[in-house]
Amino acid sequence: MNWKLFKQPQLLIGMLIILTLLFLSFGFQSFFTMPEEVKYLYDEDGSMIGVAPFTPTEVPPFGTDKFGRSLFHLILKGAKYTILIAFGIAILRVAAAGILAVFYHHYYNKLRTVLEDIIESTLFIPSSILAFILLAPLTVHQVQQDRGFTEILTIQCILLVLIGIPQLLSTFTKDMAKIAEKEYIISIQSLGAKPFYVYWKHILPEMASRFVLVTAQQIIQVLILLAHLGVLLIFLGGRSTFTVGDIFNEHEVFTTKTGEWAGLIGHNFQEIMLKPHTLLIPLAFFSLTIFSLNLVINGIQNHIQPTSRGGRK
Amino acid sequence: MSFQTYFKKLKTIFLGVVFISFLPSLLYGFDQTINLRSYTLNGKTYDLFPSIFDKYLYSMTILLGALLVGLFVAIVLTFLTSLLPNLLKRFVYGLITLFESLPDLLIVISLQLIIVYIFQKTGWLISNVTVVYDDKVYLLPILALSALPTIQLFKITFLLLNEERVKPYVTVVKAMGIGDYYILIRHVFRNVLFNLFLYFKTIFVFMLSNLFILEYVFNIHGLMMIMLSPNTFVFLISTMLITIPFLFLFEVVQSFLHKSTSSKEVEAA
Amino acid sequence: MELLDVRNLRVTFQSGKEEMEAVQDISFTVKKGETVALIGESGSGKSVTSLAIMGLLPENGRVKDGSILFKGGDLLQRSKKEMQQIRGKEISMIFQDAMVSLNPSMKIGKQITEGLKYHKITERRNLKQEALRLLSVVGFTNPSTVYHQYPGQLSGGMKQRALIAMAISCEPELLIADEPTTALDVTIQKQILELMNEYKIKTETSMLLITHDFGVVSEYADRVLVMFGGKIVEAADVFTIFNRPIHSYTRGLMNSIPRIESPQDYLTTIRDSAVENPFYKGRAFAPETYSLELKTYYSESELVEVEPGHYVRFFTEKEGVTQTWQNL
Repeated sequence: MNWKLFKQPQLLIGMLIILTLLFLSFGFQSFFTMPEEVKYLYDEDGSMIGVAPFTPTEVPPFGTDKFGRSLFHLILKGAKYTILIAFGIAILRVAAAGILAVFYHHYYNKLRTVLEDIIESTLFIPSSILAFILLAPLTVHQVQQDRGFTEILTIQCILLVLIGIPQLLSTFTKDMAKIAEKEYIISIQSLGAKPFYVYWKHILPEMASRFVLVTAQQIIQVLILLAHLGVLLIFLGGRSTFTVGDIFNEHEVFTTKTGEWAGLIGHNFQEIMLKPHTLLIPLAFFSLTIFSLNLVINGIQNHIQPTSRGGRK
Repeated sequence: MSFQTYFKKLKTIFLGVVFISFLPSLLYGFDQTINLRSYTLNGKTYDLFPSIFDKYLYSMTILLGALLVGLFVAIVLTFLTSLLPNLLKRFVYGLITLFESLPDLLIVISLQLIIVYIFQKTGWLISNVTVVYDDKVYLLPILALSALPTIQLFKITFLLLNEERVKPYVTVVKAMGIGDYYILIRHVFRNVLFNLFLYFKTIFVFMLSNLFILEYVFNIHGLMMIMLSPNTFVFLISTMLITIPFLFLFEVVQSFLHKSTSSKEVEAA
Repeated sequence: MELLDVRNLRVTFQSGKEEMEAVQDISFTVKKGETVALIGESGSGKSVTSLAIMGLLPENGRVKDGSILFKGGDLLQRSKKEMQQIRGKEISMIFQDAMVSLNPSMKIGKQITEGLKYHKITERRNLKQEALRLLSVVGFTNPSTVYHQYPGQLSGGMKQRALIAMAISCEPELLIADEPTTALDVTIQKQILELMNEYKIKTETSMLLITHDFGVVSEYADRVLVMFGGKIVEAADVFTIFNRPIHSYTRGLMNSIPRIESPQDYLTTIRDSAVENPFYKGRAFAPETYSLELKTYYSESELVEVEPGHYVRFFTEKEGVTQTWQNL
């Protein structure tokens, strides 16, 4: 991997979008002066013309959710959590799988019997369902044992990291096997290099751009996984319960504590027919982030093999 | 392929699934529900057997239907773009990147909204949007599920095609004075379709995840929804129902690839 | 009349904004039944010349100037359709890397008869018979087995033979062989070359043999063109070249063949780094001196007929020419 990578226009544009989102997210209060909450709208005479939620045309730019919170604010606030958590989980997945892959590849014959079962079986379980099964009991725990916010978040992140490792482990091990077959590795070994020196100095560096690429792909997968979990009412950092409606028609609504986008999708999910914008706007931001990541991926792939991508001949 | 390796792998996966299904107990130390007769979904209780087979067939029909639709559309699209000039090809590739970035959730939800919108405007209901009772809809779920795999397959075939067209054997065939379209169809396209099998697993995993969110959003009572019910036995059974045929398919594809190309194994990125 | 007459051919390649001239002003002829060898190191423009004749230059390459007369008509003026009728049928080509030159997913038998089928030379029902005949012509003892095999199941030499079978399937009048034996074992090289030569003699086909191996040239070629840096530096019939090589690049090439009779401590190598410099505008090779001296490099050169049918590239300074000639 080298710095020429950053001469790829697609990669730069992608990174620019993500960095802008993060930048706005951290400092948005100093940029925008729009009201954070609009519960009721009044006309010039002072009479009330509407109750939240509002559509983007009524309360620009993105409207509000049913608590009157401006979606624009929620989205920008949530951007940092969503992107950074997805990024963190993806990096941890790749790093852990990379390190494990060294051992798995080296002690393949011994470890295979133990690990192959899990690796092979995760292929047939959709990762969202796997995540749901592992994370759902946590919400019960949160209520029963009164776990703290950080504790829940940490456990969730660890589990999300672990879910991704088996498949990565299997791809990395295959890559390593391919590199280890190359002649130069054999020539290094014939010169007397110790196995872990070979991994550290030759195999892992050769996989460096592959790691970057896979990390970007993993961020996308984590984002989609988070969105799915959001629909299933599992939010990062646990959920807080609101009671809405009047005395006769009371029901509970769960919202996210961190404000990440998946949570916005989750608690607005029931409103899919009434106020689709509360669902579509967070999803649009998911798409934007994934699009920028895809641009980054395209950039990296153009860098690795310039001719074969996108008809660049 | 040998049945021996198939059964060995099946056993391995079974052990892995058992381990995973009891993972919550291992992690949190509470008793998981194991009910061999029934499962609950949306507060209702259903008999497990034999209705699970019915749901299973339904889910698999949607999955395979979507796969076939996706494959067909992707191939047609690739063929059409291969006739375009180079500049437009780059534009198409840009569009693929854009569409590829849409989360499955967004596509499913938008499709639902579009249908409701059309219904409100014209009174014409293309398809039942959500399944309220146990009647089955096919068309809409298949179309919704095929959207993203179409894009993925299109992208893969598009890239494979570009790779294939500059391979030395194409020059050799050209040197025999054979026409461009003949080469495109008889040689290049054939090999691209063949190489597509290498991505079979990736597409499958991707579609399974899509199927899940589709069933949830459309409220389809299918296998993926059943897997969500808090009953370990149901989870185990459903997973194995998916594994048994698809592992078989993977093995067949694997041995097929192994035989015709001398063990060239490319893992899809 | 010559079968193939290449006149002042120039081929350029566009890479980014730069234009690189891969073949600079090449002229040669191939007569009926004759084998002409193009010899030179890699990158000297041999393969590009052959691709230009076939009209199969890569997308970024084009013929800038010159003409390629085949049976009196200029190939460069032909339409795409007309070229397709000539390719394979009248001129066909054997490529250098047999390992990747066959479609991996098509059976050998189908693949070698595609030309026959496409040009409608042989009827569909006779195709298999014809394939089996071709396979036995190129020396397969078990044609019916090979017919049903995929390229991956064949060895390098077998693939090369299959490629030859394909190239000769439509009985072309000119066969271009682009380093047909480079990727093969020495034992198989001989076999392949014998096979091609035998076929050539039997059918009176002309052959343009591209190689970097003087051993191959000495045995099979009638005339030799030595190429360097996109130019012909020496051209003569094979006996003249071997007995009286004049251009020092030719001599360098010959001296770099190890000889048993006069063992050397080192192999003569050709020291020439300037051609790799893209800004270099002068002559491609300083023949007399092997030198990198700038003055020598920037002077013009031309092909001079030193004796009947023997052309050598020299500096334009006439006194230089005579001097070198006398010193020999």
